[in-house]
Amino acid sequence: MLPIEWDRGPNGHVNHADVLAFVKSGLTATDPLEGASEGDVVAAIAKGAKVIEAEYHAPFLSHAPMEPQNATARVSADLVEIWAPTQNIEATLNLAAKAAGVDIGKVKVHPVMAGGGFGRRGGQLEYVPQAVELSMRMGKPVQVIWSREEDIRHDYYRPISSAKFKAAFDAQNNPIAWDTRIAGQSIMSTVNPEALKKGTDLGFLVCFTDNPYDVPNRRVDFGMRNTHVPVGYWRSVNHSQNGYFRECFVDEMAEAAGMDPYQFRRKLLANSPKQLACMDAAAKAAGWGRSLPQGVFQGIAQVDGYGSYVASVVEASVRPDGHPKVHRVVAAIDCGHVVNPDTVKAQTEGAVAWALSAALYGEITIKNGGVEQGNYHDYPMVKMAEMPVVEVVLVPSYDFWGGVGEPGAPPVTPALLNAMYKATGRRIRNLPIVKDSQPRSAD
Amino acid sequence: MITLTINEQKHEVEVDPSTPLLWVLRDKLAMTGTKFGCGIAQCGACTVHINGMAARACVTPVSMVTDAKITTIEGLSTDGSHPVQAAWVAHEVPQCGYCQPGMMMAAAALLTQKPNPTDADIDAAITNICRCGTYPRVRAAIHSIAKT
Ligand code: FES
Ligand code: FES
Repeated sequence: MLPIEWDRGPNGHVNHADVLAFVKSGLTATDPLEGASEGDVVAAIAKGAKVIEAEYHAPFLSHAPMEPQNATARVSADLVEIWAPTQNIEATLNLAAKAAGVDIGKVKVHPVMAGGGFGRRGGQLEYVPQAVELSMRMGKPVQVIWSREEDIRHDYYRPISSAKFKAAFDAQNNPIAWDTRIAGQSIMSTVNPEALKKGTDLGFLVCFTDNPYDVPNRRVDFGMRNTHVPVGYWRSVNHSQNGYFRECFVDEMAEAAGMDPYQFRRKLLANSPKQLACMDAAAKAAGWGRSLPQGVFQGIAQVDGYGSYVASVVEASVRPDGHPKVHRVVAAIDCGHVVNPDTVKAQTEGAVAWALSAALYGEITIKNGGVEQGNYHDYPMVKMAEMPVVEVVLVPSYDFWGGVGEPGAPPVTPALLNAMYKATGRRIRNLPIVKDSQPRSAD
Repeated sequence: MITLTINEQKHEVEVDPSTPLLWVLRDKLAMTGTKFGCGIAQCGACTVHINGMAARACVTPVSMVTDAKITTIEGLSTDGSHPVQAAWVAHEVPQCGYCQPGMMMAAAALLTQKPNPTDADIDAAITNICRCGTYPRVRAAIHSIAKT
């Protein structure tokens, strides 16, 4: 066998500690990119009777759909044919034409059923040109199937990011200021560097630039830190980390204000009727505050995105080793019009599993410039035994069209972490839970 | 030459005896209902029955099953009428569908061994990964069969 000597490239010296230090340096950058600002957050914090601060972190995540990336190409003199599971037929067509050096009129794409996509098969379809090039060189049809290891190690990951919060309260415990710094890797840095030439990626600040919670002085800015690791669209995209950051910190604000987290949110959402109605529906269906078996606690979160509103109540307990058991998730969704109620329910159920796998276990780390994880044993998924009961409540308000594939996921993680806090008295601000949880020696 | 009994039919294949059954099914016999997800017995996408028991074809060397009765998703029924298949339709279990042949094979084997499985039995027997998160419906579908 030919001995293989790998050239690990210009980033071969980069390890995860380097990536983390680089990303977190964005939290203290003195020249952040502008996000959104109302009032005078600095002056209001200086006047605060009470100020709280917290820092959160979210790791890179892989899509790891059940069907590894693959494509089949048949290149002949007058036609390039592609069979591929793809979420983006136009991109498939363009990539194949470019690889074969022909006009797109000479390319035919046969899209086949995709074994999960979740954003992985959107624009970054490099297995398509691979199949084309191989077919050209071999002069026959070629099917390329990546191994699971190739799939996990050559993904376009959910960006790594951190958040730093400060909130100030007046003497009556009313929140008067909320300052947010987001640090991390812009998706545009990989998928559309041209867009970044304008200097920023405001999409990375979603959940904050459109923050529905009424606090008079607010600011969000951005310490952009683009690593060499390619990033991309991962089901629920930037809402996945920002929803978790925001809704966990809102819980911390509620505690500082001495209020129940649901009632605190109600107060700050008084002018956001859709969010409020959706959250009320979830709280009602779950029986917010009902008496639960010993050791089981409720957490709540609400995040709107993709044109829809979702609120989740999670009921969870924490084992002595610090790992949670999720018993029940109640999710209310207002996606405007509902066409097929069962599809909306199925997507919202599935989003719970998606969020829980990431919250409990999901983390991609870097060693010698490359990805350390490679298969489901070191990048594990929630399976049947860990899947909670999921109850989906549809509360359509029938005056808009919202999405249902993405918005179910973002509120799940913060609702779980907020429930775990009630069980342990310790905030988890670093994911995955399996890494940041601690054995409960105290009780 | 290796002889295999699959879905009550004999097949002769010319392969290295260490080849995983999964790739013999897919690449040699064009039985593509059995899926590849991980190759290391982690996900269950490749689940088939070997003498009625659920087994992961990606880690089963074909030389180990020459005397066995192998059933794949194609052989669960000829017309989609197996109770598991009917329950999967009734509960609209699949989303992308990729894990579902393996899920159904695991469920069918469980129901043969335990016609009235408890939730704990289901947790123990169904260790397949579904990235789309259809677990609640898989559970409900299995219970619905047990009741009938
Ligand atoms: S492909 Fe066999 S268990 Fe995953
Ligand atoms: S239905 Fe998509 S992986 Fe299970």
